[in-house]
Amino acid sequence: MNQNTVSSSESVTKKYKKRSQFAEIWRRFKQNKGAMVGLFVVFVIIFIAVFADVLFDYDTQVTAMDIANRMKEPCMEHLFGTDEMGRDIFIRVLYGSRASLSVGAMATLIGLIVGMTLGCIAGYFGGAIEDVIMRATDICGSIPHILMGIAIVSALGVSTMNLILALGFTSISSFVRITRAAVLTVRNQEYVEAGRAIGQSEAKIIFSHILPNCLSPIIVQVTLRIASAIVAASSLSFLGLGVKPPSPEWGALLSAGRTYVRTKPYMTLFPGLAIMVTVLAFNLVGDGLRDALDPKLRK
Amino acid sequence: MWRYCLRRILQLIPIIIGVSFLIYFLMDIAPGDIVLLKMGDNNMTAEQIEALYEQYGLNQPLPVRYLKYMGRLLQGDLGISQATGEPVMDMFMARIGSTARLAIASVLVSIIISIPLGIISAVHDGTVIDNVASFGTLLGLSIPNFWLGLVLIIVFSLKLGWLPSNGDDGTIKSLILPAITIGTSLTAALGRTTRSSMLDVIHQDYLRTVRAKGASEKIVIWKHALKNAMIPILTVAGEQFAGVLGGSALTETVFAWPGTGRLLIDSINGRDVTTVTGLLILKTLIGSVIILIVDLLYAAVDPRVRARFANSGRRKKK
Repeated sequence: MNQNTVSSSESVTKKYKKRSQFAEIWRRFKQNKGAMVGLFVVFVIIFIAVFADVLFDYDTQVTAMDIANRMKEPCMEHLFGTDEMGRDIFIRVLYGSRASLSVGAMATLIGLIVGMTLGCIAGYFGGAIEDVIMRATDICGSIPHILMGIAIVSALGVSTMNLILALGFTSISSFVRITRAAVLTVRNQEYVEAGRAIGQSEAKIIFSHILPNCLSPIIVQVTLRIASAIVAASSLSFLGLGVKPPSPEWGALLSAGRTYVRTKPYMTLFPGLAIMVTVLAFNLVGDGLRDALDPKLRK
Repeated sequence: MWRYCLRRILQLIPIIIGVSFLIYFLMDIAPGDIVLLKMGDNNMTAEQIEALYEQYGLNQPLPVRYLKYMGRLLQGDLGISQATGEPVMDMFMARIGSTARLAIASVLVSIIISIPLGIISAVHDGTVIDNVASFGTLLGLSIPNFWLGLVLIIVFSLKLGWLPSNGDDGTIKSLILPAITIGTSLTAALGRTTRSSMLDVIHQDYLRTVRAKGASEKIVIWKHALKNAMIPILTVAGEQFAGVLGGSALTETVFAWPGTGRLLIDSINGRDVTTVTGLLILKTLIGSVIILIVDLLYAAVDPRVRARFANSGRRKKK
């Protein structure tokens, strides 16, 4: 952002000081074109994922074999071509958004709930309990995420549920660290002191004074985590440690297409593009949110 | 300084114990142990099964087995692979060379591209150049590694026929595609670090002084600014090196690279629990140790970091 827009946005801020915080954040977010495009793409993908079973029939269009039409190159009828069983790759990629998005979102949700709770406890109460939580976090955080995911899935068995658990577990440590750091900066603020002075309970202080003021970095982390969870989920599925065929998932589609990479490269091209576009969209939104939520952090 | 080194090394010990226990425990609950594998289809009596469990020490409680395992680990013994009958350590040592060469090449690719990119981006902060570079790094972050590998294979091996698509024949040629594949995602992260680290430095007073004494802009940026921006950059590069050395399982699988990552995947598919446990523990250990070494190195190189620990040491003596 150049000097010009900075000063104009300051004058705008003065003019609209009464606007709610949310409106102010949204106004800053809107200025970031990349983030807006990302947000639009995210909405489109969520829409497709939610209505996938309305748009396509799972049994006849997504998983049913059609040997007469196998391995067709992309054409008007089959935009992305067909796979080794004659299934339309375009439909399977669109339907695959369901698995990829829900795994990414569920895993992040697990990481968020557990990580935020632990981070909050560590940051607010401190002392021995903080040491225990942070040491445990250090231990889990020092195992490379993808290796940890591989270890958990191979220990618990290959299934979508275990994939979600594995990815959720690996994302806990980053949420603990971020929440704790945010709580530490807020904990000794005067409004927290004030809450304590009028005799509010610990729970009330944490939920109504501390957490709302820690949300910015957590929200940003959620978007970025969903992006990396989608990549991790497709990676594990690609290795055969995630969503099982015949259900369409982008990593599993890639893995299936890999067998025919010499003769039918389009089979690997499109599922990968889907992952890239989705992850890029979430990353754009995450970056935009970071700038919009905390203009001071903008570098 | 020595006190600091010692403290950092001591801090590593509980992490190593925790990590190895976590992995050992996880692999212990993995279905299908070696006795079930040996039993196979032959009908065995309960006594025979019992004897097998005793032979492998599996009748002992988990903590006891873990302690024994760690005792052997300290002597460099990770047990015998159930799939090949070779010692896991030997299998690891036979493949670490390939993985290490790939790791060095990838991090070199990453450094060569991302440091100039990050600096240019920071110098031209807010301009079109910066926006394009920032979008490029975000794109690099968003491309799934294994897919990029497949696309590179399709283009450069299958269509153009320039480079081999799999295996490690010891030449640079076979190294190029896998190194670019891993290097791209590393470049994205390192480029962002370089940019923000340079931006932190670029407006500091001492650079104005350097400019005032008449140094050219090139010297100001590449010598004086970069020197001070280097710590976070080196830290991230070190972490990346550790990461590739430990966890490039996907890229190694895509390129049929005979490294430790692919060995891990093969062992998982073959239900070779001993090998998987050993590899996971070893990889995590190596990663932690490399990150520690990088930390200690820049404490040794940077006078500011050194001064901080010299002071704290003195205070403790009082």
